[in-house]
Amino acid sequence: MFLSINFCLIAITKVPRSYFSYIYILHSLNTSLEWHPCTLTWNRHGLLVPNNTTDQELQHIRNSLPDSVQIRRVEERLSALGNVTTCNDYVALVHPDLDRETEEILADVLKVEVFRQTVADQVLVGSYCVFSNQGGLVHPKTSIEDQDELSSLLQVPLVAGTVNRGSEVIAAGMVVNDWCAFCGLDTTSTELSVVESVFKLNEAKPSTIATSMRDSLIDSLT
Amino acid sequence: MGLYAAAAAVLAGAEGRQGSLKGLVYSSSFQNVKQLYALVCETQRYSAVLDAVIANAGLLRAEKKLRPHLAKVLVYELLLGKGFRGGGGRWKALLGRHQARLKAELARLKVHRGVSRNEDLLEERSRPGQAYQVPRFVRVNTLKTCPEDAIDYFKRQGFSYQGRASSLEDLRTLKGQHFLLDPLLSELLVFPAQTDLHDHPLYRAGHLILQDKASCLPAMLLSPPPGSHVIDACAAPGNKTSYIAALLKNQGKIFAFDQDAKRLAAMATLLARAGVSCCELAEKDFLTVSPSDQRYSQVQYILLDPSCSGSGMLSRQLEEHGGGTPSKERLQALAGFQQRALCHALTFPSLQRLVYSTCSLCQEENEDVVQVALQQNSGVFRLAPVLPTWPHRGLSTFPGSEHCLRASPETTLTGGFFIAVFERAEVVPGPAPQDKAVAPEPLSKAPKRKRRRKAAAGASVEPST
Repeated sequence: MFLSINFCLIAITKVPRSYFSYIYILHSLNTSLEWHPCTLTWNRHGLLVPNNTTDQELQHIRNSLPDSVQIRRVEERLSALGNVTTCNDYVALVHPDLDRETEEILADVLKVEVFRQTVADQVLVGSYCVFSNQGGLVHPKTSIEDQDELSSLLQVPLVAGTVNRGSEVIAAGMVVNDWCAFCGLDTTSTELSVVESVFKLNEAKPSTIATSMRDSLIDSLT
Repeated sequence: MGLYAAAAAVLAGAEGRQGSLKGLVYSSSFQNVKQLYALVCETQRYSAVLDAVIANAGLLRAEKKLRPHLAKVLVYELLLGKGFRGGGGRWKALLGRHQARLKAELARLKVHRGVSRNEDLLEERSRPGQAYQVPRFVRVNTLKTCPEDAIDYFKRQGFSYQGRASSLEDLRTLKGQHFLLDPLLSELLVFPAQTDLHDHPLYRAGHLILQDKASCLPAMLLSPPPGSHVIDACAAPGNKTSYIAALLKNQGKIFAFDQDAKRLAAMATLLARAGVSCCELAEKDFLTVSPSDQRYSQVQYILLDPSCSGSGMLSRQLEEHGGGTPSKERLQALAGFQQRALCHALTFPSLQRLVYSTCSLCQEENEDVVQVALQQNSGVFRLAPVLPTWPHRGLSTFPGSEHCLRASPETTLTGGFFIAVFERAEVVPGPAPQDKAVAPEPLSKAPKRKRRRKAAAGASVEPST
């Protein structure tokens, strides 16, 4: 499943429909469609699919998604686009060996600034780094200097962490947009709280103690 | 030729030392000179940044047919300039292919250096702040007119005359349509920085000379009286020569030498426009001029302004690659020539006063050269203490070096300069220098000379009585 601000793509599974609202939902038609999040890269402006996407699949996506989302097929040797690139609505990180044309297409279609970068010396940036417009989570072995540099490039706060009980392949264990995140079942509560804080997903402000949280915090004494 | 191709040609020429940026821009066949000059100067300013971005983006490796200078110009225009205008189909497609990468590399460079604006990427030296704050100095050519007439002309044009400045502070705060008379030189007018007068009718008629204040000082300190013979070695382009002629009131003789025929021709035009008639030009190396030649037997004043690295010149600071510090070898070569020229000049038999000046800030070309010359001529010549009120003195590398003068945009609001005045140390009765300055120094000198003259007269009279 992958998630953006304005659309969401899921495989037909046991996930109940009620979890998703106010965004477009696109069910994949049958199991012959081999989309995985690791082969696509997307943000609110567009979606890039690899060169092994069939025309039928492409048509299906085009019909289902709003017109504001541009869709393009990319001829690229590194065809698992989701593993080699990661982006939010403004910046993208890509594999250092990505083709120039792909980089240009990324910049044009997704309207992002593209940086060739490694994360913790891993070239598959799409797998080891996940970021949204609010924050980002990177491979746990990223050094502080790299985190600072990445943070300046991406203009979002970053934290090094894990999901799914210590798994460092972060993109395989979570999806996130500006308002919510979904993590794998094995994710511990510590990891969840880290995700919540760096992606600014909790709506907790100091004033909520006096309003919505009041009842649960204060028992009646009389 | 397209704008970008012309700019690339100018940059290539500048790197091959075929001439200055200005000269190359004017000699290129592109129509809009201002646009070309602006593009070339700005590209040169950001040269280091552009090199880094192009190298990181691997632009030249990817585009084999793109020449380095053209790449620099195009990348400047894309990233730092006003945006790439459709200069031609080829370049547009090329840049389109690499746009994202170049922009990313620039952003990455800014992140590395910790700056947020493009201007902060520049080194300190490349900032044009200084050149913009130096006021525009205009010398009134007293051969053709007088300062009062020039001031009246400007007043009628709408400028507001503020009188004679009392200190440097008045010059620093000058702006708008105001102008002043310089506190030190009574024929030097001071306008705010960036005043453009090169199209002014008075300038074209030769009544005004656009000359920096520091460049006027050597002739003013030499102050040859009318009727004397003066040598101006390395004279082109001739601004100092015309000032000497003005001080001589065209009476007497100036022998001007220069090795470059083109510059000598330009100098001839300038002198003709300024109305100088007492000057004899010769295309010779000053070192080959023989002091024992009859023609120079009456030369009492020499102005020596040899070729230097120009590290103090304001326009050079904008143009040179990465700021103006020349290499050690170049400095040594220049200093060698300067020492030879200075020692050669000091061998002229009737010489009374010599002014040595450079537009450089390097000690190797300034104090060191003077020190060597003094050592070789100790007892014969000494440094004259001049302008005690001048704020910026020579570096204290040898005793007496505080008699030398230095100038810089920060301290004296002029271009960078160095001046040393040599005087014959033996007692010879001569006319007191006509210093128009307010400095009290000539007054203190005059009585000494009178006493010496009286003593000499007394000594010569005695035997007869």
